[in-house]
Amino acid sequence: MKKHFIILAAGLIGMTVITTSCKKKKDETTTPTPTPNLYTRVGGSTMVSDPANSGTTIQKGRLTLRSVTDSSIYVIAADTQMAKYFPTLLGEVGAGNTTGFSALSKNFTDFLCVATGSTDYSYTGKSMTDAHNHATNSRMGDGTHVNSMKVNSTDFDKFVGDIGTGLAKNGVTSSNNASLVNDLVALLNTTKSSIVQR
Amino acid sequence: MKRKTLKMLLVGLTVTVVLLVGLSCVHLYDIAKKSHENPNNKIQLSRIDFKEPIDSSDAMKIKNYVATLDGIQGTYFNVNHGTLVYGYILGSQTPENVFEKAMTFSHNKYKALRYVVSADQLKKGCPAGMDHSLIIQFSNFLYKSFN
Repeated sequence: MKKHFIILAAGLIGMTVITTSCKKKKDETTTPTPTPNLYTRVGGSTMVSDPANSGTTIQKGRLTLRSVTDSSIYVIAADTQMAKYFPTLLGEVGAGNTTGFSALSKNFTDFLCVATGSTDYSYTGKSMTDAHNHATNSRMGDGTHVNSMKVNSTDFDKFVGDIGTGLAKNGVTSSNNASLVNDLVALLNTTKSSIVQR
Repeated sequence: MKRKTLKMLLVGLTVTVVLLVGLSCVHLYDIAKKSHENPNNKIQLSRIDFKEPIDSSDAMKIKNYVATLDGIQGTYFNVNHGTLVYGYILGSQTPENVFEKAMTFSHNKYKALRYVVSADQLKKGCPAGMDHSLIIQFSNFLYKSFN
């Protein structure tokens, strides 16, 4: 009886030691800090004054993305290779109508906010595939030349390059922030297979 | 009794429809308001195309000069393509005036044209800004009525 009691006690002590050690090892294993998403890295949801709209505030992340978008739009509008894809940027509208610049600025800023991880905005435009396919967007071609507006790889890369120039106009280059530039380019390139349809 | 019930139903239906229409108008007004509060809403882009190679120093001088004109919000010169894009506030400047002043400033040293998008070109490509749907027109009408 005494022998059985000693064996049982030893077993219980042993198990206690083992489980305590395992728990300790588990506690000692550090949980990796999640990498902040791209939206957080460009400013996140911190509210700041909107320099373009006095008296209002805007999320810092959105302000950054809007600034890059707006700068990029000027670059795209000046790029003769992009002219056929973005005629509405330079098409003059009458007073009271939304300009192509304003519409693309909002749409693309919304797209980037969502794509970089913001949960406070939504993109309500067509998917990249539908937006660049004549079958779902008749503006990408015409009745006799359905493929005339399809984007090829060269034009897509040029577009990404123009965004890079827009980034540089906002002080972000590969020299001073390579990881941000690379991550943004990588993000844009995730849309390549949807957009390039020729 | 039956007539009274029908009358009550009709009144209830009318009130519901009026409330729904009213709420829709408020919602559409809000959409238009947000759109008009967009800081870029009044900015129109325009472009001058230089038809011969332009010296980069001259390009920067012309670009910087255009940036000083009334209503100009931004400028960008692509020297390789010979294109100067500028944004101006609708109503405060005209592309014809900007072109004329830019050419005068540069002493007509370079052949240049104002880039004008044709109606055919506008039918293709990115549709941004081309939404002239009835809903958008109505919401703009509501906004203008109260502002």
